Amino acid sequence: MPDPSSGTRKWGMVIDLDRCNGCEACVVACRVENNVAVAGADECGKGRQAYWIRVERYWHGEFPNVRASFMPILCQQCQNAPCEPVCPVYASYHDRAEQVNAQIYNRCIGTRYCANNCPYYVRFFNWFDYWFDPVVPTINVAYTNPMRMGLNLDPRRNQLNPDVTVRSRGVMEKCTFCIQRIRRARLDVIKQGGFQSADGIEHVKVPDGAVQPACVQTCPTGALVFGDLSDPESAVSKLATSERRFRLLEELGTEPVVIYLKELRP
Amino acid sequence: MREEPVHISDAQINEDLTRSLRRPSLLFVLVILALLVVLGVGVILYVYMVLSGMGVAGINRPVQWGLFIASFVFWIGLSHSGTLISAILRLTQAEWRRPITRGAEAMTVFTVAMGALYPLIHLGRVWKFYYIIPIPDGRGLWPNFRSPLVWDFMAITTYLTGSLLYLYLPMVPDMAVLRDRSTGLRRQLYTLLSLGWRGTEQEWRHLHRTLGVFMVVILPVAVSVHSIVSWDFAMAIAPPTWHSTIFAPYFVAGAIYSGLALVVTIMWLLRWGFHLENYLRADQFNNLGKMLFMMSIIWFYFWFSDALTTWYGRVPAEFETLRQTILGPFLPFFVTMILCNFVIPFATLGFRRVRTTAVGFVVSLLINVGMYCERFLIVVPGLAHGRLPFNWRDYAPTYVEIGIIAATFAGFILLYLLFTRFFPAVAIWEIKEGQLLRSTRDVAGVKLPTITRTE
Amino acid sequence: MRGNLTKALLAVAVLVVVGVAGLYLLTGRSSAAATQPIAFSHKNHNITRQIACEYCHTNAQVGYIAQIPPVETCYGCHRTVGTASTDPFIKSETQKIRNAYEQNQPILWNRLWFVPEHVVFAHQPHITSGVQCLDCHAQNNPPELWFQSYRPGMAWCITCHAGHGAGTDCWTCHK
Repeated sequence: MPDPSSGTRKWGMVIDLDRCNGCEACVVACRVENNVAVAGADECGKGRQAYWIRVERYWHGEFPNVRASFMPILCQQCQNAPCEPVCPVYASYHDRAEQVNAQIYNRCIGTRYCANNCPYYVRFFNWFDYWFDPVVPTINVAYTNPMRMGLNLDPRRNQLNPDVTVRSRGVMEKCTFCIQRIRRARLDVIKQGGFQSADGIEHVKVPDGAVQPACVQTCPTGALVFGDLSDPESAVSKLATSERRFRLLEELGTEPVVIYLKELRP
Repeated sequence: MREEPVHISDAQINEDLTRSLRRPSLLFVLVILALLVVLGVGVILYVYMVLSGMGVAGINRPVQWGLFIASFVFWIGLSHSGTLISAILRLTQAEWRRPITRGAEAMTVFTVAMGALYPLIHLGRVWKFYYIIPIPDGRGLWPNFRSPLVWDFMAITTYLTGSLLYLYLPMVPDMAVLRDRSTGLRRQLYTLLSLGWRGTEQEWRHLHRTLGVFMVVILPVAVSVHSIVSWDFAMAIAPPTWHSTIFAPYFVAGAIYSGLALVVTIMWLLRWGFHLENYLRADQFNNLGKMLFMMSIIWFYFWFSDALTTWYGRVPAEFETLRQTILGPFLPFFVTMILCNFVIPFATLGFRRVRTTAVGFVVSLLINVGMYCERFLIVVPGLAHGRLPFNWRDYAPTYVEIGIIAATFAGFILLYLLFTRFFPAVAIWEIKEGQLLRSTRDVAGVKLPTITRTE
Repeated sequence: MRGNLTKALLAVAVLVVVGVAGLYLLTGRSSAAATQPIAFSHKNHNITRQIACEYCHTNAQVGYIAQIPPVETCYGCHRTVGTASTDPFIKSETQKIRNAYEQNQPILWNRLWFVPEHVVFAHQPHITSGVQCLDCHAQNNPPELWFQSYRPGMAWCITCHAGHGAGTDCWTCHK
């Protein structure tokens, strides 16, 4: 069996701002897919809410002639990411296989340096344990089976996605381009024997459109498109060449792979 | 205040400098108890924070680093001058250094110890802190040597070890003095610490040679430590105003400045507390005051160059952060900083009468108030008002942060007081050596004070 | 005096080493058998009767989790097997399966194998690439302790992954 992470690819996303109507369905979908915690009203008031994708809303003009514009912002998966070199323990690192910026929760020690050095503010710290069950605050809670401890489990735990870690307090988290979906798709390709063999190395290639992050899947207006930027035939590559394209805070040289499309209005 | 050095008999020196080791006064015991209470409250708050999560502190998104990191920079900055001033003055063979060195070196060790706590305190999962240490393991995982935090870890542990040794080495002869004059448990402690020192010529030669190497080596270490602390900020591109080339020298200058101010504060307290009027004289305070005066100018020069460049550059995000600092919600801190760090010291320390009186003591305290504000202003505004205004948010510390920070202040004072209870705060042998080398000679009919040098 | 000091230091050192080693051994693995609602024996099924693992744990070949078999799987055989046993113990234990099936109640097995919350483990790719069930589930244990709770560490996973060209980037297991 080939290494599921083999092959070359460069995942990317195109966000068409002219199509976004700010409905925030992507925010909800992401929260459900990735077990993003609900911090509660008090914590939101203190700026501790987490949303791996958010819709920033900006107002134009003076009342009553105002117009809102929306900008969904998720981790830009920079190819030259400022958060990566500053992490002292490689919890934030560049996953060479997926060309995506990874965050490994169980390696993270919570220096919060990466979040400071992220110009897009897309890294979220777990200020508390937001688990459904009243887990005894042991330090290595991950190894303790609550069932064996005789605790009554909160039924809400069944809504959690088993493919995604439920983060404990003290670690940083962020958008992963739904890596669990990408990896599942890749395993499916292998299972069906659909991997290519080039120069003796087996490459696993996921067909265009076979993977969609939760936000892309749920976007009702189709403003979000996801795919492989290294494949010139993919939908995302074609959209990325649009003359409406720009990248957020491009002047910082972070080389994001999230590409925004916006028509300049007079 | 006494100006000229007086000759004091060896017996009197022993008596004066070991006075602090005798039975403590009631006030001393009460102060220790009070400090223990503050420390205890801080420890309880810290355990509470570890068990419940960092959310009990006031930090938020985007101000992920708050008062903890400001205090970290502050403490590491304070640590700077002790070893540095002692090494520089030893290196330049300034005679007036003799009563200062020990107290300054001890200050360095205890401030670094307090500063080194902060990276642990502010860690989200402190029980995994060892991930940052390069230990080979079966998983093949190493720390990221590109990260300034790893440099920090290396630099601070090196500096702590170095300054601990640099404090201990010149203490060995004094330990022998105490060993010969104490009984019971104390005698055992001093016997252990004096390493069998007898005071032979060869031992002195070894000591001086080792010190000679040490004070040269410790200088670059000291400079590197605060440069690396500054690079924690300067290597980050995202928060406006952090990514600045001037940060390393600016931090070093600020560190020397605040550390010197603390040395002055401590020297005044030692003089008053232990009646060292014959040792800590106008000479010392005068010279230290002049250095403070100079450092206030240098500090302002660095701050001004940085701010002016940002102001004229008008890069939107950076300019906005600077505007928020100077005219926005951070105005009180900014005013305090400029007043305490530049205006007051610059206006007063030029006068000898200020430097050598209790006013100098007050000014030295004010400088560190200003420096704390400066550390705060370096860390917070760049985070609070970043590049995407949608995410702007202000920051206010909670009682948890304040309690923990107060505990480290109490911890420092406690450690220092306990140090003076067990070790002479002024090096006995250095004072005696100074007296041996000093004499008044007849030069062409004029009586001149002279110093003999040992080679 | 000096001799005593040396002895004391030595004693402390020995205590520390023993303590650390003991902690490591205690936390590293636990072989305590949990009480199950039915006295089920993997040895009897898997070794003596040569029933393949996948016969009951059907999901292992296709999915992430191997799945604890439902009552129907047990009942498929035990509607006849064991019901007429001369051993009263076997007979009564088999009766429990029958009862559960007839009352439409699940058997509340205690799950013994857990990977930590931060590990996403998938059976299917391991089985596809030829890893045998017992390669992991029988680690270092005599047959009667097979399938009892045992927690392999990350170093153990990495050794095998690196040796077989399986992915070793963090996202292979930590998502």
